[in-house]
Amino acid sequence: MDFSILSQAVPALVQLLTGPHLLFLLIGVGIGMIVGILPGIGGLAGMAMILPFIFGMEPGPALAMMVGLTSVTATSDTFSSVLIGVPGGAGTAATVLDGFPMTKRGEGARALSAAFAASLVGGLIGAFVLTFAFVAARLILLAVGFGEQLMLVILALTLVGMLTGRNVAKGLASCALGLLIGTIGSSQATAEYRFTFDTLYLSDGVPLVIVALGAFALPEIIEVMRQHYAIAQKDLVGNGWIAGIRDVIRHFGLVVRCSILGALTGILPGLGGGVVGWISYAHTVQSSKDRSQFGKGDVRGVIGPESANNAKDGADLIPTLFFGIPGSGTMALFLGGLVVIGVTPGRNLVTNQTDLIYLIIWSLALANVLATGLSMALARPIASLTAIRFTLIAPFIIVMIFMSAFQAKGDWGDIVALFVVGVVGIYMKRFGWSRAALLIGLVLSQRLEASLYRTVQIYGFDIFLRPIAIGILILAVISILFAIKTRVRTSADDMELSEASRRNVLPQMLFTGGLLVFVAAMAYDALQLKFLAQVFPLSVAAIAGGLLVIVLVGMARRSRSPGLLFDADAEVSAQDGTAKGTLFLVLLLAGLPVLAALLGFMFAAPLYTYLFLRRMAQASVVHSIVSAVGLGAFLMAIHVIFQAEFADGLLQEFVRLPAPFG
Amino acid sequence: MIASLFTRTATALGVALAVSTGAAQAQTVDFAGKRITMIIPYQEGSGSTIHGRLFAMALEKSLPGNPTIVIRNIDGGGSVRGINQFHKDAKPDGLMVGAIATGTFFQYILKDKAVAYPLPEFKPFLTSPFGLIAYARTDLGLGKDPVENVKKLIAKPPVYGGSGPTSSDLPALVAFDLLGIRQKGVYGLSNAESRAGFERGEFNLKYDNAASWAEEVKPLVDAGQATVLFTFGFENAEGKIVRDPMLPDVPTFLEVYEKVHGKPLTGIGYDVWKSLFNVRVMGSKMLVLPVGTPKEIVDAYTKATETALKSDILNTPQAKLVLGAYPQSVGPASETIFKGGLSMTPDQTAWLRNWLKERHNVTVNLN
Repeated sequence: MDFSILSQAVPALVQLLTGPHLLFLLIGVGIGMIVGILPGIGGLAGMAMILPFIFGMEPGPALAMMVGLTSVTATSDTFSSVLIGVPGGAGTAATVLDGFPMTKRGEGARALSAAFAASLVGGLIGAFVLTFAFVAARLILLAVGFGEQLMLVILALTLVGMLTGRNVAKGLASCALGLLIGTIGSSQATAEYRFTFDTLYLSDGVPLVIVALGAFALPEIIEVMRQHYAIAQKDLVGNGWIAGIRDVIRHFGLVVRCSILGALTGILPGLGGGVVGWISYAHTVQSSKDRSQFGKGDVRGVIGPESANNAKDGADLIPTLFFGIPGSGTMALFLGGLVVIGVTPGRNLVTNQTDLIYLIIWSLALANVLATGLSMALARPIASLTAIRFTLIAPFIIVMIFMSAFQAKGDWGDIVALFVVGVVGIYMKRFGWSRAALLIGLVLSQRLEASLYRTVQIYGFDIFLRPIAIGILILAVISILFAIKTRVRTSADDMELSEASRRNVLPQMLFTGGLLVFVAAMAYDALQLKFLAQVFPLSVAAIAGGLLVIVLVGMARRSRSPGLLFDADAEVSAQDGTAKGTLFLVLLLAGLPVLAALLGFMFAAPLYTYLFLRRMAQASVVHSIVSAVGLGAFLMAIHVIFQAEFADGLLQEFVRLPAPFG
Repeated sequence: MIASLFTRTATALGVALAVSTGAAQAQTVDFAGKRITMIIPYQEGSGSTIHGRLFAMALEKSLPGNPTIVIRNIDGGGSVRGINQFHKDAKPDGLMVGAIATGTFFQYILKDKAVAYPLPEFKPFLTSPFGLIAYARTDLGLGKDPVENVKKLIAKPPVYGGSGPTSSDLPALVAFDLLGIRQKGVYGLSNAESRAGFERGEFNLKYDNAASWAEEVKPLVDAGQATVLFTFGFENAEGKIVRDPMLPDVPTFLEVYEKVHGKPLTGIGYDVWKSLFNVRVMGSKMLVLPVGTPKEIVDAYTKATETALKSDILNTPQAKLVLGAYPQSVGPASETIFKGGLSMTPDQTAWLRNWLKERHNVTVNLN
């Protein structure tokens, strides 16, 4: 390791602060803020937008702009995760777990401010780690082979033990289902298609963002619409931002630990960005004494994932800059941008252009500071939106969710998949199945199968002769023991059983049965394939099936084990007879895709908004028309600026219309 | 603060729009004020995307009327999803361009049942060739002489990491097999992942795009970790396969074959290899217009591409890094290469299917 290159750090800072770099960094940060705050548009769209302008620019300013843009979206997309429960991606879904309940308590501004302060610390730690990591990166690469990657995935998977919810069997079954859904698509080893129903859409699997939106955003929307007037069910509490900063200071140790965790996850190959938020969330739960408030609005559940997500951004640059392996879609475009400005990632960059590396690191640090300042300023005004009557903003949120989903592959399959996952998610929430465990299983599925297959092919049992692999495996065992110990200690106070959930168990049993049928169908499909393509899905299906049978039997026997029988609908209607039923709300959601299938999304979205506002919110005609037209104009702007495409309907089959209408 | 950011962004956008719309020229084909979509059937950041974006930027300036060109990445199914979509959506009006690559050809040649595009009817206007280079780790006991090295690899099969036998790896895997190397394969890896595995010594046989020679492969060779086995060569104007212009010191596959086996490669083995070579090397990346595009529009694109190739954008060091030292083919010349890629006879296809079945236990889904 040669640390002498660290001496170039100061000149790079001077360069950043004096030249045109700062201006371009600001532009990047500005665009990053905008695309992050707008639901449905992310860093990916932002990068795609600036790429044409970068061509022909000096590498320095162009890098400052790209880094500014990519590093702030992790901060700014917190707005939608916390305030409306719509995660910006699979990684930020962990923030929804506690952030959204805080908003419902009227503490949206505090949650945001805590998130931003944590992001700032995380971002700075990430930049600091990057400074040293890039000296040691090649050593890390050489030490972490496919065998070690397998152990890392297993270690991450053991963290599910902290996120199963009250019922272990249901939680582990959810995780197994996630693993199984992850096997949909072409098998890595044999390129055979699994469970794709001969559609090209499923040939590359279900996009993560679709599952994150379906499993989290749609159920939360339904929940709020079911019984509440506004997202914030209580009056907004205080100014918020001082409280949030105080939270971060109080839990500073947690922030530092999660930041380091996030940075490490980003640097080590094999895990990928989607899992970072979950790893740090699990660690937050694991390391806390009082766990009773997690999932109900514990500020630590916001601080942990947010600091990790920002720390990861710095670390994400390591595989991108060193080996040209992008950790995410945004990084893939970043990579494209590097080539356009004539910077080729790889050895030459890290050994001969260290000035550029430092420019990137400083840009990263500065962008984080700027983004935090801007976000803090915006937190309170934007958070006040959560006190508005929910039926007035619900149609916009629904439109945004479906629009975001369509950006995943630009295919009608996105919308169908979102709806299917959404409905499953709604019932998972209703019957107390852990959606977090499902998402973790899904995020890790392909990596688990791939690294398992590669390890067996390359090492066989020799993997147990590699010291680093053994070390990680021991950590995984400790993590499992820890989860069991916690479970034993806390399950005693989880016995608050409600009779309402036990009165009619048929819906719960039908849902569990439905999951079992899905597992059986997956297993049947896998039986037709070659050994290498079927061994993983069959093993997972066997585990999932076994767990589901245990759950079913328990339900039939009306077992009193914690969380086994749970029905949120029954609980609510026991307390509040006027609450709307789940089926009605699902049909209400279905209205948008149905209209879009007929008219195309560009016409359907304003129409849906108008009808929704008139019927559900009893808004005036003028209000409804203005809102619908405003939404149309917004979609138009997104089409022009970010080149977003919208779904076509039957109408466009017959009539040719100019973009974005057809 | 925010307001000023907005203004700056808006100004930047405004300037860019003003530049890109420009003044319309008086020509029969005119794209003034139009938006052209280029469909790239691979991920953002892929080699095809970088290549496509580079040409999109140059074509915006050289197409009549200076249209805006937007890039749409539709990946999946080894390019089949994106090109299916291109064929379905594109009208013969020049407003949609498809970027096709090796995968598009292979899936078509092997007649995968997902393929819904009539490849031969597309109208190519640009082909960019890219050479291939095969190399192995020296810790297998390899020395400097490629022929001796190949013989050692035949005696002691190496481990190969790549994306899989039906992907763009196909020509390299067939080449290894023709030489007699029976490597063990680990599949489903991106190029960067398999390169990392190669550096760690988990894999010891690999091939790469010759354009990444200087940056990625040469350092390993200089460090004594890797040695070059052969290149695929390059077909010159006389139709003869010569040494790769990027690596003139390295023998071609055909040279190595002849030295290893004592006789040149002939018969159906050669024919299949040559067909794969046509696709993988000579027609590595192409830009096409949809079925039924009128001649004026194809000609306009051809002319614009000729102009673009002389423009500053495609002659910067960055662009040279992307395109390598290879001659680009435009218009009728690219049509010839395109046809060459489709030249595989039913016999050859049958041989290839059989080879996939026997050697890799892969059955291609027929219609």
